[in-house]
Formats: sequence, structure tokens, C-alpha cells
Amino acid sequence: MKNKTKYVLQLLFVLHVFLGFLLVFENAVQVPYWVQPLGRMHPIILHFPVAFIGLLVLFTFAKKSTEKETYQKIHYQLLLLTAFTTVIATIMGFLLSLEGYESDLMQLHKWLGVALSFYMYLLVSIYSKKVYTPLLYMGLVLVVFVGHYGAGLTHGSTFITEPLQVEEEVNENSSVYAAHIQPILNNKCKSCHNAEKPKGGLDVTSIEAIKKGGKHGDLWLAHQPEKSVFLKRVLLPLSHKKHMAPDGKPQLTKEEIGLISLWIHQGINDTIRLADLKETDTLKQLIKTKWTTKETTPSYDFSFADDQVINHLSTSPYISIHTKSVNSPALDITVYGGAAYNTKFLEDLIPVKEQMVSLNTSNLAVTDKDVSVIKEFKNLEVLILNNTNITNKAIVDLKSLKNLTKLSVCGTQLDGKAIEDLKDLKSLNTLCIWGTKITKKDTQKLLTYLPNLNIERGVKNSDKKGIVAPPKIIGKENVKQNGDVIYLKHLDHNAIVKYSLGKEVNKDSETYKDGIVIDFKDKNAVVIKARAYKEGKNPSDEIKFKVFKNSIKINSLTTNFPNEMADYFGNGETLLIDNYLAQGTVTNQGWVSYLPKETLVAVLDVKDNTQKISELVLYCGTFYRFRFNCLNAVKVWGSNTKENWKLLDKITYPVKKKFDNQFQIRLKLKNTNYSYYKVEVAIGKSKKLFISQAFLY
Amino acid sequence: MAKEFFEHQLNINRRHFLSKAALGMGGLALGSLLAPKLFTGQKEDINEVPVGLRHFAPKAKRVIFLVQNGAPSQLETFDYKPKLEEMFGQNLPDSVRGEQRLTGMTANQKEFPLVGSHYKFDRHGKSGAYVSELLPNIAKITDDLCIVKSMHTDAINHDPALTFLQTGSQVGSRPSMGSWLSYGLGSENKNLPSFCVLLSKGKGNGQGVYSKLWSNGFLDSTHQGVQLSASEDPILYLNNPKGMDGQNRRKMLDHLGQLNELSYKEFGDPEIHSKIQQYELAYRMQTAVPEVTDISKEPESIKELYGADCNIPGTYAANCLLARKLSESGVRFVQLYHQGWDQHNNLVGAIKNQAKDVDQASAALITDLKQRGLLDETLVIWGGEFGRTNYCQGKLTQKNYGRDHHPRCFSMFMAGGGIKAGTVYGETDELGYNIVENPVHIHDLHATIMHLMGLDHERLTYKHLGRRFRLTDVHGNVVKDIIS
Repeated sequence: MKNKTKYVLQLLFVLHVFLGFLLVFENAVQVPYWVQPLGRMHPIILHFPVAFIGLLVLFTFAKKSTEKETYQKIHYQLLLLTAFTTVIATIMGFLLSLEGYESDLMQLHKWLGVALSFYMYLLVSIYSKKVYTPLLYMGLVLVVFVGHYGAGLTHGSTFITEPLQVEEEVNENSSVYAAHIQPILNNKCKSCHNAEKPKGGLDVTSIEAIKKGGKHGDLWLAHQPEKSVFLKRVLLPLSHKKHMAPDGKPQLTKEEIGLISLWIHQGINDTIRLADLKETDTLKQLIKTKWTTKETTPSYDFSFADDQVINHLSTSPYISIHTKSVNSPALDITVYGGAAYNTKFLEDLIPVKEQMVSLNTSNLAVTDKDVSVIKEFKNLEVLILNNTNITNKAIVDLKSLKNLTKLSVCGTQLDGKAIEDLKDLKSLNTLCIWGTKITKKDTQKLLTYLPNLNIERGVKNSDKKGIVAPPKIIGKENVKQNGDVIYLKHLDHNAIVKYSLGKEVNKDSETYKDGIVIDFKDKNAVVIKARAYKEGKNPSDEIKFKVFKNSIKINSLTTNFPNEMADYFGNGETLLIDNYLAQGTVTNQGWVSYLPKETLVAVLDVKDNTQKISELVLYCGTFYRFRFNCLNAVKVWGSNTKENWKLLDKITYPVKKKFDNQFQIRLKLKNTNYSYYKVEVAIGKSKKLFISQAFLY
Repeated sequence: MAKEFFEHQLNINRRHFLSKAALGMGGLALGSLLAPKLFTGQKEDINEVPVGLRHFAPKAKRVIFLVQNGAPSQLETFDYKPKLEEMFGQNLPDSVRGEQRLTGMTANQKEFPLVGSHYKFDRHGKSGAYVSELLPNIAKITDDLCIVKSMHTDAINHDPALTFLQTGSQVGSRPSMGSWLSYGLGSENKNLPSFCVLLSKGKGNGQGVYSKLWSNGFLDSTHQGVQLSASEDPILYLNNPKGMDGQNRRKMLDHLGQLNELSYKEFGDPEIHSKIQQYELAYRMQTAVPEVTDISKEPESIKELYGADCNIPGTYAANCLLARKLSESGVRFVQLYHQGWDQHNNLVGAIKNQAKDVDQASAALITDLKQRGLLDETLVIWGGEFGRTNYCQGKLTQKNYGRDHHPRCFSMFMAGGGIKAGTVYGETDELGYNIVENPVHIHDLHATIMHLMGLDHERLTYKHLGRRFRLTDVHGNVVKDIIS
């Protein structure tokens, strides 16, 4: 016997340390799911301590009539049992509290419960002391409070008095004052202006009390909101000493102020009913908007889906599953998967058929047979079946969805006959039928059955002929040699692309097949024009592409400023022979800018060339800031060995010469055939020269 | 003897103490089982919001944000100010301007001559909202829109203002709005990124758009915006290289994943996990993306709706169509940028072309979502980083003028996703310089967007450098009046 008592005492100690630990590290505690049921048994276990403490108290009355030793033994054993069940119930309660109960009431219950548990442990340890009995009676008081708050958590704090209170339903017949004005005062004013605490002598708890007024006179004057103390004080700036409600307290909203001032304007009538007001009355309208704009969070009475089921479904890459919100059991589901889709995707959802309120299976090969699975999802409110393979038959199955408010069947095979079944979807308020064969006439018929239905018909195919998109040039190189090929492309395979060299493109122009072979003839540039045609459509805009001739290939070009002078791209010198002649202003990416401290020297390698070269052309440009004296002189030499350079041409620019924004430097090479040419460009002091491309003819 | 008794008592107490201590340790040990991370030295990760857990029921599931980069003039689009036409050429009163700072471009200007809109306004739809003749298609759908005329911001230059609009901070390196939503809500379609970015450029004066605008900041890099390129292959390098088939690729990724897992175990760098996830996402995108980005299968009527330009990759129209397809496929946040609204001079000519570029496709996107039944779950937002001044920048003539940056008021519109359709919110003064009613700050816009997506902007936080960060910092109020 003694041993047993010892073990129980030790166990009590351990459990209280455990409880203390849990409380101290509450934020770090993570309850494994298998412990959760233990927590949920709190409401069962808690009855033991309640009953036992009562029993202990009752037993003290029997002290005199019981043999002392027996009494002590039984009482002590019962006390131990009480303390034990108390701490167990408390620990369980703590675990349960982690499941997301959050309220002041809950905090009160929790800490009182914890206190009770330690209190009982205290009683155990002072059992032999004299104060034990009075303290035990205190414990009874404590347990009553703990129990009361706990019951408040499960049943609601007004549970006991509820049958005594009659909550009035707000409707057309309730008085405007009682239903809409007094509640505002109760929420925002009453805490400081009530019968017990009438600040400024004002009590706003009832219309009678208000009529008595306060220290500063009547709260409001009929028909004169602007002169009423109430509005004056409410509309003062927040920082003002006399502003109501005081800074830091909940303020009246714009709507509330508007409502009260309209009601004052109406004549501070506390009996007038909403039904008495005309439809056009602004007060009535404001109240009505207040009703309709109230944010309603839908609540559902079905249970939560099993976490494991949701987790399992979530692992599928094709199913998107989301709860509506943290505290909602409702689920939003979208099925993706394209070609991988099969009926099993929907069958997998059967375990959550009750919780699913929204389902989207757009663009999947969902058939009528699959809809017979969807039929089982009784709580569906939104169903989106765009571009699926369903037909009229599917609608028959949907009739069993009694909560369906929105149905979208765009791009399906549905036609006018579907109306016969659609009209039975009584709960529907939005129907999207764009891209189906349901005509306007059909929808009008449907509206005679479901007058409040909002039918989204979408855009019509216009009769106007659209315009084809223009073709595209592949690549951006616009410097070519004779015989080079230019390729065009059009994204629409059915479009025909026509082109011409120079002339405007029309129907009779040449049809593009596989590449346009460039022949410059004797010109230095040609313009390729192209246009796309497609049957039943207007031809596209004409695109133009100017191609420049370069007769001799430059193997490489090296300068004494290889790349650091490039303003835009890093590979400066290669840009000069990249076969892209920049168009437009010098700020775009085809240009290399030079602002050298010394003369720019470039060496062109044309080793393999056998033709005679007559001219070197540099396409240059400059900014308006630099256009005076941009260049001082240009020289060109030829050599086969990079030594013993022979001067071929030299241009010296006059002082104060004004250069165009874009210009060409043309140097005569006198029909030579050297392996290397060297160009020296003396750029004006602090001037910037842009070069896009070097050509040899 | 008394001493012995005393000692005996002490002995009992020591034994008593030791046994109690042991029991106490037992209690603690039992408790520690329920707090597994407490003693492991790892800090409990308060950052971990369960992905996909909304704070409350959302009205919108997805967002498409059509950023009109460069700041469109509100005075030529939605904010009709006939008084300005009356006061043509008169100086902006100092009392109106107050202490508003100016940009470097007009700081030296001696006069601020007022100028009204060159373009005519008309009321449209049941809501009677004013829309200018520059936006005829948008004017047709005003009953689906909520036009907010009282937006205002803190910044006066493009880069800080755009960064502010995107990240809630003028200084870069904070997570973009799309990243926050991706962090808070997770991906809807696991085969696609949850945050995509599309760029296009109009003919007008362009302003820079940089990748910092869709940066994940301090959030995990899986929340970074994925930029789709303006070419025929919106996502580059998505095809398998020559000679490598899907199976090979899968095998390679599996082994790579194992190697990465090993180095994760060694270094514990969370970026390694991000990298693994990105490889996996890229693999899944190989099949999902071509399906989503292929606009050739769209019916002709849809292409006509968006305009012929939608056939050319990289145009605003093509991006709007692509945005619809991405959004429809479950991309949580699609961010478009259209450059070219910065009309400091020659506004009359330039804004006309710029507006023409975006009008049809913007309206088409909303119409298209609506006809598919998706508008009520997709929030579409249209607007720039700030507004433009009511006075002329540079030379004012009867036929032409320019407008400088103006942060104090500008217009945006929203549609779908729980927004109250057919409303105009907020009002500016009759000179269109200051807000007189219902101001909506950028932070308020962010708070409202998050609210519509089911997130509480005050509760979605991330701890970084010792403090918790929010998209709205310490500001922001949900604009309840524009929520249906």
C-alpha cells in the first residue's frame, strides 16, 4: 500500500514537471498526430476531477461519523486520485488547446486549469496540515470556475442564459433605431457612456437614457445633424482633445457616421421601421447596401477531409488542391495534365467528394462518362468544364448537384437541346456558354425558366476579315554577298508569303519557297519586301528588309582598342565585321563607339582574297554633341607582310567641318590586292566616333 | 543523539532530492519528446508558413498585373478635368502645388502652365465612368472595371517608383509581389512556375525594366519570377539537347539530385534544395510549357479579339494572350510590363500610338477571361508606377505638350477577382493635382491584392536579418470599398 502511494506521488511530481515544461516551451511544442486523440479526450477525463473534488468536499462532512484512520486513508487515496486525474486532464487540455483554439476565454480556462492542477498537488503535499480543509473548499470554488469557462468554450459563453434572451431578427419590420443605430452606439460608445460609467454625464445604452442628454446638452437635434453635439464631436480631427471616440479607441466608420447623420436628419424617430421608409429614401438605401455589402464567409457543415488523403492527392503533379481558408473544410480543386488525363484522375478525388466545392477540369478530355463521376461531388458550387469533350448528356448528370451556382462549358459540344436539362439546374446563377452551339434564342428560352440566371455568351466570331500577321526575316544580318540566301518564316503554316526585291508586293509577286537568293547586280543594296496572304483574310502589312552588299570577305579585324571602347557590347572590334549594319540612331547595339586618347588603328586581314579591291568604306555616325571636328584625318595602307606598309589613300578633313549624324568614310584602294590593309582614324580631341561596319569593294 | 537524527534527516533529504531530481528530469524528457527541435540547436523555423494555407477565403485565385511602364498620363485616360482646358496656359497655383518636389527635368522650369487633355472624354457603361477616346475598347467594358482615380505613391522617378510598385520598397532587393504570393500560396499547377514575367515594348519613350523587379529578394529562390522571352520559344533551352531523350534526362536528374542531396547534407545550404527543385520544375515544364505557350491553336475569333499583333511573339497583344493561357493553366501571378509611356514631350502624338498598342489587347484579356468564367477568380490590374503632371513640361502649344512625373495622384483599373465591378473610386481636385477623396496608396493596393488572394498582409511575414518583413512593411490598409 505504502509503495503504491509512493509511486503515485512520484508520478504526480513527474506529470507536473512535464506540464510545467509544456507551458514554458509552448511555442516549440509540436504534437505528433497520434497524440492528438489523447488531447481530444480532455472533455471525457475532465469530469473525473470535477466529480472527485466534489466528492472530497462531501466526504469532509462525513468525517465525524467515520473512523478516523479509515477516513484518513480513504480521503488521502481519493485526494491522490483527484490530483492525478486533474493533472492528466490538464495536460490533455493543453494538447487540445494547440489545435487552434484562440480566445480570451480559452486563455482564462487554460491558466485556471493549470492553477487547479498545481493547487491539487499542493493539497496533496499539505494534507496533514490544518489549513487543508479550508483550502480544499477553495479548490471546489476553483473547479467550478474552470469548468464554467471550459463549458463556455464548447457551448458558447452565453449558452446558459441563451434561452432567457430573445435575439430579435433584423428585417424590414424592425425599428431602424434598434436594429441599426443602437448597435453602433453599443459597439463604439457604450464602454465609456453607460449607466455605471456615464462620462460627460452621458449614457447611451438606451434611447430613453440618450434623451436625457449629458453635460453638454442633448446628444442630437432632430433634422439637424450638423448642429448635433454627436456629429460635431465625431467629425473633429482625431488629434483634437474633444474628438470622439478618443484617439486609441475604435473609431466610427464613415458608413456609421453617415447612417447616424441620415437618421438624425430623418427626425430621430426611434420607432420608425425600415418598411415605413420609401424605396428612394437615402437612409433606406444606405441600410440596404449595408446589408448587401456585408462580407459573408460561407460556412460549411461537412467535416474536414482527412489530412492524409489531401496530402496524398497533393503528391500528384496533375492535381491542385487547396482549402478555401485555414478554418474551412471546403476544397478547391483543379485538374491539369493535358494528354496524360484519364478518368482515374477524377476517381482519385472520390475520397474528398464531400469537401470539394469547386472543380476545374478545363482543356482535358473529360467525357460524359467522366461526368458521372463528377455527379458524386454533391457539394460542388463551381464547375468549369471548358474545352472538354462533354455533350448534352452530361448536363443530365449535373442535375444532382444541388448547390451548383456557376457552370462554365465554353468550347464544348453543347447545343440548344441542352436547355431542356440546364433549366433544371435551379441553383445556378452564372452560366458561361461561349463557343458552344447554344444560340441567343436558346438562352432567351432558358431565361424564361431561370430569370435570374446570368448567361455569359462571350464574343462572337466577327464577320470582318481579320488581318494575317506579317512574315518574319530569320536572323538579323543585313550585309550579304552575291549568292547569299535570306530566309523568311511565318508562324501560320497555311499562310502564303510573297516577296519582291524592290517593288511593292502584291498578289502577283513571287511566292516564297525556301530562301531568297540575293543578287545585287550593280547596286550596293537591295530592299526585300514581303507580305503574307491567307484565304479569307486580308493580307498582312508589308515588311521591308534592306540588305547591303559586301563583295570581299574580311577574315578578321584587329584594332589597338580591342573592346574596351565599345559602349554597348563587349566584343567591340568583331562588331565591325559582324555583317550587321546598324539602322537608326547610333545609340542602338550595332554601333561601336570610340573615344580614344590616340589614333585608332585597325588592321584588316583579307589574305585569301584574289580580287582587286577598289574601295574601303566605313559606316560611321556621331552624336550631335560631337559633330564638329569629329574626324581630323583618315589614312589607309596596304601590305602583304604587315611590314613596309604602302600608303594608298589619305583624307584630311577641314577644321570646323560639320559631320552628319551618319556618314561614310570612303578610301580608295587603287585596285590593289594586298593581304593586309591598315586604317588609321584620327578622331578629334574628346570626340566620339561610332562605327558600325567596314566594307571592301 | 540529536545530531545523528538531524544527519539522518539530511540523508533522507538528499536521497529525496536526488530521486525527485531524477523524476523531474524524466518529466522534462517526456516533455522534450513533444518539442523535437528544442534541444537540437536548430532554431525553430518561424518562417515556415504552411504553403497553400490562406488566412481567409479568397476572392481571387490568380493575378495578372499589366504594368504600363513609364507612367501613362491619367489626364488623357481616366481622370477627366474640364477645368484644365478652361485654364489652358495659366500657371499652376502654388497653393495647389504645395511643397511637392519636382524632377530634375522640370526643376528649372520657371512656369508651370496648366494644360487639359487633347483627347475627348465620354461617359461609358452603366457606371458612367469617364474614359478618353484613346481607349475605345477599354471604354466598352467599364462595367467590368473598378477605376481607381486616387492612387498615389512616394517616388517621383521611374526606377524607384516601379521598384516600389513591385516590391513595396523603393530600394531594390526586396521580394516582388508575385514572389510574396508564391511564398504565401504556393504553386497552383506544379508543372509551371507560380510567378511568370512577360515583357513588351511600345513605340514610345521607354524606361528600363530590370530583373530586380521580379526578384525573390530574401525569400527562397523558388519564388523568383520566371521571365518568358519574347521569341517563339518563350522559355529558352527547354528542349532536350540533340541525342538526349526524356529518359536519359530523367536518369541524369535523378543522379544529379542524389549528388545535390549529398552536398545538402554536408553544407545544409537551402539554395541547394532550391536548385534541385528548379531542375525538377524545368523537367516538368518541358511537357507543360509548349502546351501552354502555343498560341497557334487558339481560334481565329480569339486572335481577332486580341488583335493581329498577337501573332507576333513579344508584342503586348501576344503577351496578353499568353498571360491568359498561363493564368488559365494555374500560374498564380503573371506580370506583364509594357514599356513606352514616358511622354515628357510630344505627348499628344506619342500617347496615341502607345494607347493603341494596349487598348484592344487589355480589354480583350478581360473579355476573354469573362467568357471562360474565369474573371471572377482572376484579378486583372492595369496601371503604371505614377501619374503625370497637370502642367506642361517644355514648350506648350495649342496642339502639343508634354507632362512630367507626378506621384500625388494617378489612375489604375482593376477587374475580376472579387473587385466591385462598374465602380469609380476616389476623386482628385478639379485641377487633377491632389487627391480629395479616398486616397489609395501603393501599400493599400498591395494590402488589397493580398486580401483578395486570401492573405492577411499583416500576417504574411518572413524573418530576415533579425526582423520580420512584409510586402507592406508597416503600412497598408485593405480598401474594403472596392471589394465586392
